[in-house]
Amino acid sequence: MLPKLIKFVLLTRFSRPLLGLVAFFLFYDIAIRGLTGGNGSDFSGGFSYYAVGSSIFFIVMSLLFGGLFVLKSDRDYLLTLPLRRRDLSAALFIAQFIGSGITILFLYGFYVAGAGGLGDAIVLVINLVLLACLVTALGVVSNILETWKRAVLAVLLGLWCSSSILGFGFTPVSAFTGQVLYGSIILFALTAVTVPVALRELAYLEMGSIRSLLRATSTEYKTSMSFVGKGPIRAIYSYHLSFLELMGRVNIGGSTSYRTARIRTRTVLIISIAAAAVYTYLTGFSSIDALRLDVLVPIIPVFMGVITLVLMAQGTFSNERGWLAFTAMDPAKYLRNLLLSRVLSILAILGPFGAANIVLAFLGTGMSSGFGHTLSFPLSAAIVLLVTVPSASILATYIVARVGAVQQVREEGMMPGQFDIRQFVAILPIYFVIGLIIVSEIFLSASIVIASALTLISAALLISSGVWRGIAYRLTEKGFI
Amino acid sequence: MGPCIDVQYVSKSYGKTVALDDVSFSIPCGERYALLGPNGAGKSTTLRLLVGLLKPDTGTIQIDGHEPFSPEAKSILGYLPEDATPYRTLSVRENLEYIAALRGVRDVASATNKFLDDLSLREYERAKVGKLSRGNMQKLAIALALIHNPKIVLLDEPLNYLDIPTQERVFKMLKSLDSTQIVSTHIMSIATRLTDKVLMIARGKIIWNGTIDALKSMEVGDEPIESVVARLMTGAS
Ligand SMILES: Nc1ncnc2c1ncn2[C@@H]1O[C@H](COP(=O)(O)OP(=O)(O)OP(=O)(O)O)[C@@H](O)[C@H]1O
Ligand SMILES: [Mg+2]
Repeated sequence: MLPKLIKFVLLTRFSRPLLGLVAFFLFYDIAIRGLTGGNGSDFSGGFSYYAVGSSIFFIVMSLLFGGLFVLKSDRDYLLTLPLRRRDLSAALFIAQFIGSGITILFLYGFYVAGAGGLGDAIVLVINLVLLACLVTALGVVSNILETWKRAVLAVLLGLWCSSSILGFGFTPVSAFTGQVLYGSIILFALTAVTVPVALRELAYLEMGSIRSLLRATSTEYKTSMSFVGKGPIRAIYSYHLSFLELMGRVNIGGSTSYRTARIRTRTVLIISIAAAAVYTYLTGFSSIDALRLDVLVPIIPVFMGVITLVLMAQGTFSNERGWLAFTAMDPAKYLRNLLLSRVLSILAILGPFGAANIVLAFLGTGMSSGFGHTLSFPLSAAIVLLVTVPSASILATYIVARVGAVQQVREEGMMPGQFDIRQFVAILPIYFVIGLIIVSEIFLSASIVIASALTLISAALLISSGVWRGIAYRLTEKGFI
Repeated sequence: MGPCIDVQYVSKSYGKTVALDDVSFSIPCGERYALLGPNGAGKSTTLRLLVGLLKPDTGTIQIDGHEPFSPEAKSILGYLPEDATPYRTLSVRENLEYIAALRGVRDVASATNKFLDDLSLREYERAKVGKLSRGNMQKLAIALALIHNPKIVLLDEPLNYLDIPTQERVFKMLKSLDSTQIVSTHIMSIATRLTDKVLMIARGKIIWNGTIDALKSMEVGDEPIESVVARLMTGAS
């Protein structure tokens, strides 16, 4: 029964070609390990930062935006069947794992492979699998927690893991900074606690998560917008400059979270300014040289770039309503202004950090150790944050819509449909842009060229009306209402 | 003066599925038509083409003499799709004001207030649309389709999910509108109460075009009008 159930659950959620691709990548990672062998242990430096940083990113993201790979039809059919609860939760956990946790294996597979001798590598691979299970479980658990609890937990776990960079050995990610034994024990303990909670949650979905999704948390908005006395264009900007809409999160197969939240742009801006001030102090003024906090300068743009691209590329259309917007005005005019207004609102997050980097560049402080004495790092970071990422996000939004990889969200908390290979293709621009960001940060001249090129391309794209009318038709044909 | 809706030799396929196959019809201004047809006949596709959300593969469509996607056509068209959902991250009032503003309605506040009262949505004014009941969402959707007082109204299964008192209110509202209307429905009482003429499609082709009265005159004995319609639809296949 269980194998059949797993097969059913997976095939209703992921298309066969997509599963094939996942299998191929996993095999590829393993094959690389086999081919390359160990090349000397290197737990410090770049690899550590990368592994710890991405772990924190995934842990925090899944806690904040975790979602369920549950279809509407599950609620009506699958969950009403007389299945053994243990089987059901196992099958659903595997689906969650393929949808969310598995990304971790892709990301570090070959890094770990090159990280040390065979013994170390095996331990690290086990750590990765545990981490992937942990991220999967946290994504499920987050559904039963209220927003503030999720946020507090995310901050606590994030800080705890960050302390591993400072040499603290007792964290879930310490294995990546060289504390293989303690790190593995802590990670194992944490996983052993969260996975059973997640399994129980999945076993009784209809009584827990689904009900809490449907339950009216708060049915009314506290602050509201008014469009009285505004023309069409002003209405678009006033909407998207007042509120940031957060939704969606890219994983291997697309976004797993269909919760939508709106946050006042002003609040976001204040938080971002405060964070940027702390960042300026830490990287530019603090003299705790040993911590090498200036490593934040090139790392922050990468993470901000990913978040921006996800918010833009996946979120822009999934909440759009063609029957209202495209029939009210020329879709080209609407989409052009929608994209511009959303990019402007995302500058509320990016802008303060861009400005902070300009300050650092003038001070000539950031990046005085670790990566050599060059002042161009903060300057490159500023260009990336203020120009490259906004332009790239317009481009990515276009590509994702063009390949038809966006799904319209019509019901809270439910997957809108099966994931197929297109959603996989849709995250490739993100990796491509990360590549561009990294190149930009190493060479100032490259960052100027890349920023200009992306600005030109996205401007040309925005100017063309035909392109956006085509997107509107395409979305309708894809079943957007 | 030409017809308000003019469709000539229109075909539309989704990939390999032919949804409309060389369809022609025209609707004079002020007429009210019911669009009938079996499931998958192409009714919703027809409405999406008329409102400019889709482009025909071949053939031409004119809305009051303009292309469907032109600003002129957009300003006089009002469209309600089947299973319509408004913007989920806006409140009821914000949805109405936003769409009114996008459409360049002159007095956004009074248009919004009128529909809040007419469809008894006032108590949900500040409610998140994502949390509304399905019926209340449909009421809002109807209001959004009509907020700019359109000259041509295209409605796809408009009364779905509505409670009976609201259905009656919507009947009255649509009757009172001075507009050209096409209502796609599977419920004959909606067709007979709201419209005078019928356009019947099956398998992407028009199979019957005439008045409700003509349909009634085809009744044999005391059979209901539904039987006549069913006979016409199945006879064509
Ligand atoms: N977005 C789409 N993508 C692919 N095929 C579609 C799409 N929309 C409709 N079709 C197909 O086009 C044909 C006509 O569909 P349409 O929705 O217009 O029918 P309908 O008359 O509205 O049916 P119903 O009474 O069930 O609403 C059907 O075969 C349908 O499967
Ligand atoms: Mg239909």
